[in-house]
Amino acid sequence: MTTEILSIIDPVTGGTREISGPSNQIAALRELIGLVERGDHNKVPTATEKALETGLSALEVLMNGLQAGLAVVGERFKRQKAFIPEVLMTARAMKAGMPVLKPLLTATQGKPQGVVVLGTVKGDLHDVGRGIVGTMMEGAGFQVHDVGVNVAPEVFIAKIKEVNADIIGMSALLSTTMMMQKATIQALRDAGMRDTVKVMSGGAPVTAAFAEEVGADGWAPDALTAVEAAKVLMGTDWNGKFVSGAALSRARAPAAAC
Amino acid sequence: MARSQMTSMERVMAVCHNEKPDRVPFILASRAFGLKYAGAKFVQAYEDPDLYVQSQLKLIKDFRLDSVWDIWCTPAVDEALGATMDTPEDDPPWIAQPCVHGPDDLGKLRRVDPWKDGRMPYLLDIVTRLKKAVGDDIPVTAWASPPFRTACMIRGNTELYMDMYDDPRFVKDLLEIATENCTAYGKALVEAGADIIAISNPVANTDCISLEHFKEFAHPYSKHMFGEMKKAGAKAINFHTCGRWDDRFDLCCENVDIIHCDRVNIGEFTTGYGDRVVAMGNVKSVATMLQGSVEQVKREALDCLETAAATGRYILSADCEVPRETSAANVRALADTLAAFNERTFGA
Repeated sequence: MTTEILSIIDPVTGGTREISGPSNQIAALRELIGLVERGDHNKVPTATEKALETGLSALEVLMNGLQAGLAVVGERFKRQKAFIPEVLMTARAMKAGMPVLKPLLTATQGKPQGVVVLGTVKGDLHDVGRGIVGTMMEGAGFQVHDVGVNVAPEVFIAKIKEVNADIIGMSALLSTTMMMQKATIQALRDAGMRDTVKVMSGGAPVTAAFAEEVGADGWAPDALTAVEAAKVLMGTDWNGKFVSGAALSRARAPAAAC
Repeated sequence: MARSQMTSMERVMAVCHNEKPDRVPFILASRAFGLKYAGAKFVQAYEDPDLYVQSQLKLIKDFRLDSVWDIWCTPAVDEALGATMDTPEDDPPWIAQPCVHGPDDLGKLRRVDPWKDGRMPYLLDIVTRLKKAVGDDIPVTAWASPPFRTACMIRGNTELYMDMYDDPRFVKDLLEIATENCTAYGKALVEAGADIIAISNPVANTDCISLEHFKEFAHPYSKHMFGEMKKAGAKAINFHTCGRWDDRFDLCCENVDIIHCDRVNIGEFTTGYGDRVVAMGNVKSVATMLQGSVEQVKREALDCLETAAATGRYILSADCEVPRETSAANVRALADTLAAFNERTFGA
């Protein structure tokens, strides 16, 4: 069988990467990427099984197929060639392949890049923007626990303890509720947990200056940058300094506040 | 030649009709700030109509604003259609639970009556009270939800966004129902005394959906609704373009008189679209009005005025609603900067 080369977007680094392999494996990955990219969730489970039948490992199918497909749309999103509906469709398609792969991933292979607790702060009922952040983080290999909207500090804290989270991501879409981010960080301090969990702050009215002022470790203006900031915070070389996301203003949640 | 002393109504209509105003008008989306300034909690606006009206009149008196507003962005049509609206004690109301879970639920949606159903009669009463209080000299601005926004609220944003791919026919059927009801409420607002209808659609901007989806699912229904409200007697339609709308401003200008600008260069906007619409904005609501100093407010307001006012089709405002916790000093700085500019430019 001939060997072929496929250029993919690496879901972890976001850069382009070439993979090579037998033509049937490359064809299977190409098909899977295309299905995820088009949001064709109905066909993804079968295509995932077919990819495994070619001899690809579950990890290869996950990284070079499902997540690579999501990364294609993530890149388009960054360039304003894809929008929230396209990301949602793609994320659904990617997730449709996970039940096939999960039993085959070893504990090590299945180890996430980090464990994230995401929520919209108390008093705020917005959820679409936060949902997009969660989806993109999952696509990049994070384990995401979404605790929903109107989340009180004590609920954040309980979940962080339960799942042993590395990162808490707080969203606030109202200028009135963004102060709850400060209150939640204070609650983490009071609980003696501030040094054990990294804090990310976001939401339409939240600026980098505000996030740094209230004591967050990182801020991002959009879902893609949130993933990048989370990776920096999880890096072994993170020096504890505030991580400000790039000035890429996409994926701000539809606020419906105005 | 401009008259030396126009009423607020004459001033706002002058810029809408491309005539020379006696000075640059000043309008703020002020429901939350107004309530705080009056010492009231947000929820009281839904309990005491006079308290809300008085909060708006106080703003007019203290800051020389050129319009009063109803309780902006209250999703009363969505609630009357069956969605659950939450009214926090001191925050704006929200749709907490949608009511359309799939195509089978379309049959359950009925034509709502703005004068009888849900919170709509209360809001209409506030508009009537505002009009009675300010008379013909000051325009009353009242908010109506556009069909795409209402469809998102009663179906759920995430679900509707995916429905556009999964079942576009269902989305269009839902939009037809939303259009009928949103238009009926908009017409009732005009009948109750609203002069300007304010619209905002943050779920249909360039940050959220593609231009193709906007053209197919959002714009035609909004345009129709705006046209119907103009036919019903609305003096102007004010479209708040929350977020980014760069690739669709051409369409946004259709059947619209004022664009309440968010993230644009106001000078470039007035140059590009000043022949079609009035630009209103865009001092930053959070970074400047809420978090900035008096000096920052003055600097940014002056920058807006110097770059946009020369066209004569400009209204000074913030780029979104003025946040509740904004200091009165910052709002006063905005008003004072405008007054000084008007004095220098118009002798007014």
